[in-house]
Amino acid sequence: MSPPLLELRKLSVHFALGPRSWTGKPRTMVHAVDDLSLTLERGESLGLVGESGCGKSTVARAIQGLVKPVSGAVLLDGVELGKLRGRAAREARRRVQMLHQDPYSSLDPRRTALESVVEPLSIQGMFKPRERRLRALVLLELVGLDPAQATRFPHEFSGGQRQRIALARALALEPEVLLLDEPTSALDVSVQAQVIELLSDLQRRFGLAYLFISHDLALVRHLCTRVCVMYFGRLVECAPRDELFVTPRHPYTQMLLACAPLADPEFERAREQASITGEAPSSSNPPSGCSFHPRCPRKMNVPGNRCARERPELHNDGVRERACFWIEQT
Amino acid sequence: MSKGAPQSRWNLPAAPMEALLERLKKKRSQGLWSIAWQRLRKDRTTWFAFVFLLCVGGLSLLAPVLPLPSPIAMHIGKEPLPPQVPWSAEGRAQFEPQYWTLSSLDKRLVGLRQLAFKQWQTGPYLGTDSKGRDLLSRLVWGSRTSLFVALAAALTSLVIGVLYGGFAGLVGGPVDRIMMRIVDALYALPFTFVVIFALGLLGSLHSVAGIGREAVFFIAIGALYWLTMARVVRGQVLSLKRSEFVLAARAQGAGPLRILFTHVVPNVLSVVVVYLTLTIPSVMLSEAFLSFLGLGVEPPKVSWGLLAVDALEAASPLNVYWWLILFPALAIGCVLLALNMLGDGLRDALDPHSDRRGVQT
Amino acid sequence: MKVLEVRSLRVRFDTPAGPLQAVDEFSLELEAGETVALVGESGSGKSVASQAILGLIPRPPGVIETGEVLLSGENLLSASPERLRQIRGREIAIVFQDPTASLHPLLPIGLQMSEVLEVHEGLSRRAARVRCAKALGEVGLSDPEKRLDSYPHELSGGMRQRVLIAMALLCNPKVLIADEPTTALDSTVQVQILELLRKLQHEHGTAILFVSHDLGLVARVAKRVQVMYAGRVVEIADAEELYARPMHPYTLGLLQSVPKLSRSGEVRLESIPGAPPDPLQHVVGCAFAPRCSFVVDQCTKHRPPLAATARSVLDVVLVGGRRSACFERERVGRTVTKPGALPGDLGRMR
Repeated sequence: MSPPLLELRKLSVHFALGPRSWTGKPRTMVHAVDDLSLTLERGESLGLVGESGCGKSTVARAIQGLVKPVSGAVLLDGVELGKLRGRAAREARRRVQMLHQDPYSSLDPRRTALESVVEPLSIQGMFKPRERRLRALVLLELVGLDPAQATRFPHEFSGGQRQRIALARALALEPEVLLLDEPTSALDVSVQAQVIELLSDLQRRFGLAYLFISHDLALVRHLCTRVCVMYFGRLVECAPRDELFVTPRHPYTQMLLACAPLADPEFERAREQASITGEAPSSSNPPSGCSFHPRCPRKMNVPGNRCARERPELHNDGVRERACFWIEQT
Repeated sequence: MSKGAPQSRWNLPAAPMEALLERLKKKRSQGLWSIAWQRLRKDRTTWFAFVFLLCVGGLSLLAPVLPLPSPIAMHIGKEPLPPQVPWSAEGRAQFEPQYWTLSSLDKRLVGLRQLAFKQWQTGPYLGTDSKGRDLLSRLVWGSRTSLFVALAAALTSLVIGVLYGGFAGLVGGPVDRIMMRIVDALYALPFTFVVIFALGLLGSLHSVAGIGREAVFFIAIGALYWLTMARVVRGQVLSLKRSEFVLAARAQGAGPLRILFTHVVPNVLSVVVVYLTLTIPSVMLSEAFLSFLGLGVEPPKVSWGLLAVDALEAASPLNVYWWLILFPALAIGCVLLALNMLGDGLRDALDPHSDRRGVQT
Repeated sequence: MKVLEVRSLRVRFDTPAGPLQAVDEFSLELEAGETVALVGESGSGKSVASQAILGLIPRPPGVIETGEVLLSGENLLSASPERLRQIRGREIAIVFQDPTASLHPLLPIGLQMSEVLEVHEGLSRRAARVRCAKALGEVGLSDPEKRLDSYPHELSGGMRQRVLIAMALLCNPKVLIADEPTTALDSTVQVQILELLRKLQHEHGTAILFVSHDLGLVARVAKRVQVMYAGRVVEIADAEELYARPMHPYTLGLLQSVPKLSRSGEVRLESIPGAPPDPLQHVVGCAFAPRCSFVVDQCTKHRPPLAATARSVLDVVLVGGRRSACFERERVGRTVTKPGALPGDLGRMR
């Protein structure tokens, strides 16, 4: 069986927190991502959901090699990215590209749209110089922009248009995996729809695999075929889309779904009222055992106060993967 | 395609774009610099300051050609003359081409002037000093030295500061920390002592390598003014390092050198330019002060600082020679004010968000 | 009983780039104890309109061209600065989007809260503290007495927003303006804050003007909705009717472009082509016409009115206080937006 296109194996990323001692060693470490494993197949859309501070953006950064993991590995087609050097590393870099959240800072304000899209091509040495510019124009048209505007600067474009330029840039290297880190949360709803449908079309046309990171569950349901839920640096549930949304098992997933807006007053009234309590834990004071237990309505059902003492591991029960003691005993 | 470069697999026909590419090559949209230029022109106070500085610069460049009296021709024994109206005959003399050692270009310009104006020269419109030298001429010739020293020192501080601060910011980590501690330590040194020391030390080079006293002087000043520039540049580089487009470039495989020159430097330049226009006044004042102390420009050369020395020498309890201090002070003051206004205006002009100040819908 | 009424408000900004029409015809009726939502995307003028009610628009460069803001009959636009200061915080309160930016980072929250009472009710520091502690308890903060001495950075985002809501309601205002109060918060916290607002409204009878860009959120919160586009109000309706049967093409377009949690992605998100008009340009006719799929000839020539007039058959006021600024509203109203998706599709908590 061929290895998955992208695989994260027990990935852990820790950051230093607080002032350093005079030798430069930090005093406390934050476990931004902890022991995280997931796979992404060719042409698949995987949604990674979670609230702010859960570490999903850090996952994207680690895949891109912008932060170094303290343990674990990122594998592309079975090859560990961290071990590659030189040309092989550059080749690998090419296959995984990212679209950032903020359209206002992801483009160099001093380069035209055309130059921004040409840049990756010249970094990697693809095409002859003149052909690169032609290619860039084609890409800009592909993402729905008027190529005649290619010589304009970012500040002359709207947020949605800038996001399209960033997308053209990401596609320039013909990647196989596109990391989408909240690509539309800074955009208006009507513009968001355009960008999402564009992403959908592009995926069909070029067979791209998406890792779609978002806090917007409705969007994830619309775009993705499989969904992973993160909480405080760890995965708590991973399931095919319809399984997750119709029958969520993990208490946190259930809480997220209960909180997500339904965009319809009639549905809202028909909805069951869930008890939502508490907030995300602070990184400097992590909870013991299962990180969700302070807010979990099910921990009473687990005997022996296990949720506060032990940390549940991710189990695959054939349908989905989930990390919860309560699920295990039901 | 270069050897070993990745192959393109997506089939995207480029032929339809050929015509467009040709068209686009001809026109070029407005970059941030040209927008800044337009904004500068619209802002009246800044534009006025800019024009004023251009005039001052032009005058000082053209000094040898102007029909001014010699700035160093002395007429000892006469009382300092107050400013004379143009038609009065008092104090007028014939043109005496006395100067310090001029460059060959300047010598030719003086020759031109003699051809054009023969023996005629302007009268003491701003008065004369205790040694009978014409103040207007000394003011104009003095501007050359003062402005030149200020520009040279500012540029030196720019080069050192940008390289030092840029490197520290980019490299980061312990190297950055050490480099900045050095800057902090140097900040603590008292400026005047360091200049005296440097001049003493480098002055001995003068006899060895023939370096002019001025060169030593403005290296010493520039070498001290780079500190703040280094800090400013480092801060800017640090924030740029974290910006999304730099991260995107890294993710595409760009090396640090490429990132430095294509992304960091252009974005740092605007800050550097603004800061430069604000450093120059500072340097000018330092030069004036040092010349005043006798550590800077030496007579027979003239600078605005030395004019203050003249004013002091001429001061006596009996007569008030107000023109000797008023005009140099006005000159320095106006140029400094103009530079500050220009710096302020440039900062606003280069800020991409200043069109809709504080208006949020 | 109408507690707040805004009539024909127009706000202009004089910028270096020219005059910018931020609000171009805004009206509002708010009754005691009800929640009205003001919905619009960026550039719609909703924040400017809500801030203009409290006189928070800096002038210059802002200019209130016309309009009346009536608080129980009194026109706030012609009120003196002292009167406005009396009203702010006491009769109309406002909660902003970013709780971190709204609190002074260097002062303990007890001090910031008691300031409101000291200014408006002349209470002593001690008496004010007691009231503040009670208010913190009402918004669900544990250990209110101790909390008064905490600094903002010691509290989480959700707690800070609760503090701001408590501050806003200290003097029992008649109207609370909430300008995107939950945008900066996580969805789990968001729900708690909305629940809190509902509970407080029920207890105190406050009228709430809820400003937001999030159509999904608004469905949860509001009884009536006003949709804004390009500085104008384009539709007013009861929330259920609006979502079931919008009568303005912009509202329809918005609803179709929002991904529905209750449906998987078989249905394409319909986006609205084009972009909102540049507020620096003067618009003739309907501002939405260039992007509208229902557009007819007169849309580009005349501006469709919102209020009822008896002049023509097209301007009929619809049933139940519904209003729409569109010449083709009937045709829009016949478009179906809910193709039979069931709320029961979603997971339930057992």
